Amino acid sequence: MPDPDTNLPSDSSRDIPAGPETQTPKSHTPPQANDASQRAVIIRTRGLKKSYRMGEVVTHALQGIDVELYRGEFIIILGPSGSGKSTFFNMVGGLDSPTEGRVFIDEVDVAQLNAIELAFLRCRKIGYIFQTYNLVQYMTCLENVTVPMAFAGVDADEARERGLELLDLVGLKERWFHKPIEMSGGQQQRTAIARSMANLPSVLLCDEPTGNLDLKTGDEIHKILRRLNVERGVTVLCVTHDHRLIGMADRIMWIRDGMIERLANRDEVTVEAGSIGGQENA
Amino acid sequence: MKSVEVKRQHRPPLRRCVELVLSGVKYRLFRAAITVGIIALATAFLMTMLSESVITRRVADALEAEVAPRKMLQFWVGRLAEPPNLAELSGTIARAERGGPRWNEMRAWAELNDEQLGQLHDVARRQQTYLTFFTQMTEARRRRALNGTRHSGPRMFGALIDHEASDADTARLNEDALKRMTDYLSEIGKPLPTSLDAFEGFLRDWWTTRAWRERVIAGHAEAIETLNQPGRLLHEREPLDVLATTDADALHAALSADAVGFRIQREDLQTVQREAAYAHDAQRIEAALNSSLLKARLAERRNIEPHEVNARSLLEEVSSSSGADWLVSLTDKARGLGGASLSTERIHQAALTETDKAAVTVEAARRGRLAKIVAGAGQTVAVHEPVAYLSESDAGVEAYLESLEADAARQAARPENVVPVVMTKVNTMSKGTIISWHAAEGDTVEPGQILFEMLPDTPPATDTAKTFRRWILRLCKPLTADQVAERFTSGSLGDAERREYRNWGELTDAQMTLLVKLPARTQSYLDFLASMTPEQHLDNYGAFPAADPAAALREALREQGVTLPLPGWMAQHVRFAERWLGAAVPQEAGYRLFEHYLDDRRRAPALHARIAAGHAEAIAALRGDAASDEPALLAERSPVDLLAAADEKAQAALARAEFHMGDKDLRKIQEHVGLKRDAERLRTLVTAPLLREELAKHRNDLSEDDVTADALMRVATDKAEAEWVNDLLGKVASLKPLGLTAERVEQVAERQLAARELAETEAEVSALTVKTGFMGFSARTIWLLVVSFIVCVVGIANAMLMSVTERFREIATMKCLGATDGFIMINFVLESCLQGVAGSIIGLVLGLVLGILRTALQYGTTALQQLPAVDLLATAGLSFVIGVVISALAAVYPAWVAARLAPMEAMRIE
Ligand SMILES: Nc1ncnc2c1ncn2[C@@H]1O[C@H](COP(=O)(O)OP(=O)(O)OP(=O)(O)O)[C@@H](O)[C@H]1O
Ligand SMILES: [Mg+2]
Repeated sequence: MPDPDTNLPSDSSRDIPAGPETQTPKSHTPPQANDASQRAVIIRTRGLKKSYRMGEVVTHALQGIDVELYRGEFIIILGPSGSGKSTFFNMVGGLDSPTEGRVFIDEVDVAQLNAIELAFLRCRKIGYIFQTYNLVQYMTCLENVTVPMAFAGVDADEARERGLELLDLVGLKERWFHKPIEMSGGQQQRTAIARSMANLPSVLLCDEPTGNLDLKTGDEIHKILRRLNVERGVTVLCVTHDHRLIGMADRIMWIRDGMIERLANRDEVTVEAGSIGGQENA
Repeated sequence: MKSVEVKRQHRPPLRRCVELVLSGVKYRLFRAAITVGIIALATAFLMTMLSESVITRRVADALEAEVAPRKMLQFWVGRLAEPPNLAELSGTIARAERGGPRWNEMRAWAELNDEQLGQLHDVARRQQTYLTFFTQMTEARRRRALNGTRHSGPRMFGALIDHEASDADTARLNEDALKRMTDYLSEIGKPLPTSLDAFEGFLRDWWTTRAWRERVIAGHAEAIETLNQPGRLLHEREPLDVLATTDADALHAALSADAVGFRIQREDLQTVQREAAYAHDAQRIEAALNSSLLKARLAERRNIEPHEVNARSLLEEVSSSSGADWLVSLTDKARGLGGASLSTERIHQAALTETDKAAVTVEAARRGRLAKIVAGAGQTVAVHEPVAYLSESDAGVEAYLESLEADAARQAARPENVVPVVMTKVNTMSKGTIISWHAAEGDTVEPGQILFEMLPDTPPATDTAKTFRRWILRLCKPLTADQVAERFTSGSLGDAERREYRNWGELTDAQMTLLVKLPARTQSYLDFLASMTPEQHLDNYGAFPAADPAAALREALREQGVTLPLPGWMAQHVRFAERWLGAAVPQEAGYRLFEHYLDDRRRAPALHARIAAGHAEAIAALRGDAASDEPALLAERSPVDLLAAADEKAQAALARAEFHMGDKDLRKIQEHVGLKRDAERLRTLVTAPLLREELAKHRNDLSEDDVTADALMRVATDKAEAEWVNDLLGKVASLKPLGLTAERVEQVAERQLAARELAETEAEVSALTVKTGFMGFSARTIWLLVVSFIVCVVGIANAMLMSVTERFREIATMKCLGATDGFIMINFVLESCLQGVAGSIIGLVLGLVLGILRTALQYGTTALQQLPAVDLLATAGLSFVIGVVISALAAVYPAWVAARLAPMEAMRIE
């Protein structure tokens, strides 16, 4: 059941799944692996490699990843610590440049973009959510949300309106004037989600959004993410350690040692739910 | 590959950026404050240095402007005193402007043309280079370099000339010496400032032009000599005095006269004269310090120890109006004290002489008409007896006098309108002799007007006074025959007096000899008689002719007149004497001699009377009673004055009247007159209020009003007090009235103090400013400025770097949210600009205050008076711009680095 604290909008037409096992009804067909060819690819990587050189030692964080993510998908990435999840996240988000290979976002080669175009991309196409929230400390909740709008050239009044709207969406409308330090981790992460949605991006990239949160708060964050995915059709790519999210995802990607270990539809995974933990710990 | 459909990314408007920055700054207020603080400190440091330099330079400029007139005065005083030496001359030539006053002076003095002087000028300029080069060496090195020369001035170059081979027009250089010089210079690693050729060229020119330089000096010396000739400007006067006191036109004319040839512009002369007047007055003020009394008073006034009193403390004191008033009134009070240099002994003697009252002037006690003088000059009158009568009518006086005459008891009643003038009593006198009348019968006299001079009968204490007194009497009162006889008898008759008597009495030598010898002859007979014992008398006459035979003889000679034959008892005496002293006085001769003696003795009174009459005539001649071509001396002045003057005219007149003053008398009289004169000077001391003040302080029994000339004289008759007076005079010595108004004193003192302060700061300041330096700053100042600039840059850069690096995560986040590199840059530059503005403003205010305070401490009030507002504003502007620009620039690099980092890399850097 929804927590009253989350202050979900009452006009929400549909229930949010309470857990990973809950089957979520969808207004549009969930992405299927088999009809991938007909669906719009929003992110595509080709031979994505990333290696870090630290003196003599070279760490191959990514060792060639080829993957296609579709518009409107909810994808989670699982993998042991140090497997290269965050590295992949950064590459895809255009936050770091790959050593080899390419990343296409909306069929645009990120490597070809100059700094300003990259900024444009980050501003409008992608929303980022970090484990550490990364809110700007000296801004209020609302200001944090409206920063990307300012970069997008939205005028102040409209930004405010839309900001409040977004805060409403994450249930923080009443707290728009709070500074980050005055908020709980969950509230901060919700603010971060609202901020990531500021310019209605096509993709929402999350790197362990609930890593710093307790299970219950994590669940709320997950619900919000899912809802955004469902209601707004935002593609969500979520790096996580939380297996409960498997139930919410359309596809699950396992990364190990910088390689895609497995890429599966939720349906396939739920079947072998019992072995999930085993895989994780292997 | 799909074409890039991204549009250019927006940058939020500047206003929004500023808002963002401000809220960021507000959030990190502490951090920002520290950054601002660092910028403020750095800017303050820079500003302090800059403002100090600017103020110092202004102070230096002001100093120069203020010192310039004084320098000019020194210059002129110096060059009016003596010609320059070679080194000074070279400096002057090097600085002289073509066609300027110095140029023209030298051209005229040395009789050179412009071209020649131009050559001299050129040589002098070249010389400066070498002179500096060589004088900067140690003396030992210089000697070694320059062929062992002992000179340190321009003459040192002579060591490199081959004097044998050179003459006036050509110079042969001493090649050996030159070679040794170049070797030595290269050995010690100090090459000549120019090429050797140039140096040699200089040496040759220096040699060939030396006669011209000497001509300039000689011309200058000649000009000075001309000015020192009798009747010329500087004759027996100090240049400073001359400059201070001579009228501008006269001075200009005298200086620029053709034979002199100094060139000075009117304005310069004005400046020099003004300065000279100040220096002159300052000298006068400071000269007051020669008086130890002033020192003591000043110490008292300033409450310091007397040994701490110096010119500075005096100047400080009189630079206030009350102090100036004090000095002026003190020196005024000393009016009459200065310059009286007498010894204690002299003061004592003078006081004694004065209190002797040898001659007393008697003043009229009331107003009235002097109707009748009853006691003329030379007459002796008892105390309180009338000497004259005041009355409106002569007849009244005559009548009264007649009635007195008739009345044996002299009791006749005096009519009211007849007032007697009586002989005043001075000290213990009982009688007075009128010396001379200063008023004539018929005159109307005012109270206080001198009526007559008289000589009291009290004998004077000092020898000189006695002589003086005798001479006065001689000049006013004719001797009686008896007195003349007495003079002969006294045995003290000098040659001069003998001559006088001979002339007065128109005596022959024989007559004179008679008179002179007579007393001795009388004495020998008297002695003879006196030597007899009473027994001898008894033996011879059986009785005493008298108790004292000598007295009896004297009596007999006087009473009976000396007649021959002798009285019986006397004949007996003589016979007796012959018997007793047969061998010594042969009877015939003895008796005859005695008869002779008696004969002479009888003739003597007539001769004495003739002398007395001659004396009276001589006095009359002096008074002008007798017809004479020469103006009568005593008619014009009293005998006292005549003697006091003791001048040649008086001597001559006296000689004509057959008054002969022997050397001894002359000396005594002169001595006496000198003492009188000193006494007179002593009396005038009383006119100095300072003496009255001091004496009243010194003597409890005298109030300031009691201190009259007479009181002073009485006091000084005491040896100890005479010493005190002398001491006071010594202490006051040279405390002359300043002749300046209090305002002038104040003004001069203020200037002088300022000048001293200036002189003190001048050294400090000149160390900091060198005319040739960059923008007028010295190398040291520039070094300080560069250092402070670097400190400023480093400080600010560090602060900005810190503030950027600690915000990499924020930068990365912003980039994730779509911030462009430009936005991040602008943000940081803006932030640092804001901080820079704040810091710079604080810093420059702080720095300005510090700079002003420091300079004020260093240079005193001159710095504050000389605040160069415009320059300081410019400096403030410069510091401000530097502070802001450096802040912005210092932020640019780290911000640029941060902005260019990929967000993830940035995020990783903590
Ligand atoms: N900047 C870097 N320099 C060097 N090595 C790096 C860097 N970033 C990541 N790595 C290495 O790359 C590998 C993958 O790291 P990554 O952060 O992607 O792991 P992860 O899957 O996100 O782990 P976790 O679940 O703990 O966050 C690791 O071995 C890590 O040590
Ligand atoms: Mg990670």
